[in-house]
Amino acid sequence: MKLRRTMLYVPGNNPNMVKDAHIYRSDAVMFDLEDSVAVQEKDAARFLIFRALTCIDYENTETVVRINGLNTPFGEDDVRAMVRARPDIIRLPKTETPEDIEAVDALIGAVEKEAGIEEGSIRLFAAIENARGVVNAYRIAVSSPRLVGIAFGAEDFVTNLNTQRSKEGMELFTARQEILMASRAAGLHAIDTVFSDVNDDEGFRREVTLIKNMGFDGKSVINPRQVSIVHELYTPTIEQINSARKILRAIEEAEKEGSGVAAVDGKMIDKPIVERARRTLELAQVSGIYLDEIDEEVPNAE
Amino acid sequence: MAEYDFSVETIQYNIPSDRKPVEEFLSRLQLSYDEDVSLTIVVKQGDAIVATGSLAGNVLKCIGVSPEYQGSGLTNTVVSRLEMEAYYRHTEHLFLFSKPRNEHIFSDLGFSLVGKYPDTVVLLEKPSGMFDQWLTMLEKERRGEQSVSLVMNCNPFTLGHRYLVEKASNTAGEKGERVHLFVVSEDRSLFPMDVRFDLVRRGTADLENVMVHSGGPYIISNATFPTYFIRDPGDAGRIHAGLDLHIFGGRIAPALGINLRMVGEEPFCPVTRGYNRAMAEILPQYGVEVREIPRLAIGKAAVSASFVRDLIRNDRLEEVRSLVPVSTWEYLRSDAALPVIEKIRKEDRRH
Amino acid sequence: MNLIRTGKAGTLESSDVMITVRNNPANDIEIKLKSIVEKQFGNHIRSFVTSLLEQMDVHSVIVDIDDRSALDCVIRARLETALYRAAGIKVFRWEEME
Repeated sequence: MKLRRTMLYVPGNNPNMVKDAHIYRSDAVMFDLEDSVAVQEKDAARFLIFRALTCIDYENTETVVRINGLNTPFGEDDVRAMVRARPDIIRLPKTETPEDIEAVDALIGAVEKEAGIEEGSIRLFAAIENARGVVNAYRIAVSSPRLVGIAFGAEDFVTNLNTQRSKEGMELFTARQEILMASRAAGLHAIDTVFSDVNDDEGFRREVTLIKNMGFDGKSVINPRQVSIVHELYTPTIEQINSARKILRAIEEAEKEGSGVAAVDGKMIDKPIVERARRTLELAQVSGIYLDEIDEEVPNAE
Repeated sequence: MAEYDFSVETIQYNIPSDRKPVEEFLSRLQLSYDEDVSLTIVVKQGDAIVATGSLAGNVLKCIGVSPEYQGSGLTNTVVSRLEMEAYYRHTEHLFLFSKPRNEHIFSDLGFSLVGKYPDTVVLLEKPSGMFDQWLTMLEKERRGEQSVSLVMNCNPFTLGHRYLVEKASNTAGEKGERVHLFVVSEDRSLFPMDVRFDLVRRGTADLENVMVHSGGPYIISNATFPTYFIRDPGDAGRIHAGLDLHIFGGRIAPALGINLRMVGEEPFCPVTRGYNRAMAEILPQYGVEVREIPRLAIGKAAVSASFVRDLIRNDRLEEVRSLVPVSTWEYLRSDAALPVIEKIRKEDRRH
Repeated sequence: MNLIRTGKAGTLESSDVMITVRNNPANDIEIKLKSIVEKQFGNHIRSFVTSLLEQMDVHSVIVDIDDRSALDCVIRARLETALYRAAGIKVFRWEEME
């Protein structure tokens, strides 16, 4: 089960940051060819990420490249170069319609074919950053088998809405919900927007807690410090871990007995509950919790 | 991890809300923020500026880094960024002003020394060594042990200039020496550089011992004396004049054996008067005598290029005829001069 | 590849390299290297850049390198960028670059 708790933004024209991006242990790194690169440096960034991806071993970190939109002078070259560099994911900014995804999907497919790469091996992420994209979220979410997730970009979104970001985030509520619904309905990941005040730890924690409780799979981050905070907040509690273990044990037993139905504490366990339990334990493991060491007899171990 | 904390922005000098924070930041470092900058880069940490640098044509200046971040590579960031911006503007020969104690930082970044105004400012250039190459070329024009020099803008070349050049030619001729006449190269005067240079050559062609050179970026240029081109330079004018003169006396004069610089009295322009005063102080330190020559007067007025431009501006072109040599007059009557005359009529500029 | 103007790419920041390329009137490959790791990697950088130039069919060039301990892939990326800028090429043939 792929984890995308954190996607660390790395400016695409900065070799020092690009070469070490994986040392901060985020689940994914996103090399940016778009907003963080000046127009006159688009070519330089493209070459740099092309060469970096083909030469540097990013180990277990998922590699993502945010290309320029296909409606810019840079987007097509970005795709032609990046597909050949084989990142795990290409992220399309400012996605508004399913046709946007279809267009980039087709281009990626064409280049995969030219380059002799297995078709479909490069995945897609759609970034939704304005009202039109939000309104089209579900249709976008089901527009391509390459799509594995949707990311929300609040900065452009609030500008589009003629407002500003606030602490409570009320202005983002609908957008977040829509993206979440669409992603879940289509079986995709949902990633929340960046939090740009790197000095406001408390505010950041509040926002991460909020979006985690809403159901987001993770968050875009712009600073390594933010990575560990998100991972900490996404760590399951002892309670959750114990509960998950109970569920998985019940499933095992039901299978052993050949019975089709399992139950815990009188409640039937169906597929979504099992998946959530599996995810919880995987999160626990990746958070460095040694499951064997947890004492199950202590339900409220916090 | 520190790099994730910094962001780099470009700001506009002529937007007060952009400009003020940079002014304040630089003044805390006892640096000025000059009005001739065309581009400014700031490095910020959150909302606070931690470093800045600017580009004024081909000169990098107003570079400052917050004391707590000195030595952490922010100067590299600023200079690299400015270099690239200059590159996009097709400017490849760059200059940089720095405090003398910071010279080593910039030589690490590939800049070499052009000249200094002691204890105050150093002028550096990149690619390194261009000034040495220029001087080597100049040395080829040396004849004999000593020579006379003139530095003029000639905007345009008038009988006043001719008078000065003749005096220089005679003085040099008495001792069998050459006159090296440098024409200011910077193309910021109303008459374009190539026209000015051409009019000087034609106006002195008959004087065999006069050699006309372009001053290049090393004499009264945007790099050595930027305030020449600014209306009210204040204190900076004195420093820049000094820099220009130390470069002339210390490097250019020795290359050609110059031991005398002749200059016309300056009745009108305070910047030029200030420069001439500095010249009288500084050049003798290098063994170069400075001789001020009273201007040629026709009737009551001293013949100067600014007077000629005034006449043109006020549509009194016919009166210019008696103030310039034939070669200049022929140019002024030609089609080629029409756009220049139009420009003079429209603009109210010192030069 | 024909260099029609000066090409410049990269920065002087740590782990980067600033490369300037221009046509060589002497019709040869001339490399001027300044590196903070000259002793350990000077020779490697020179031969690496030379072989890249040959691969890219560039035979007449002056390359100015100011290296701040950049990885090979960074040197390569910056060299390619500088050369393409110098040649005025806007259309890249990615299939040839792998």
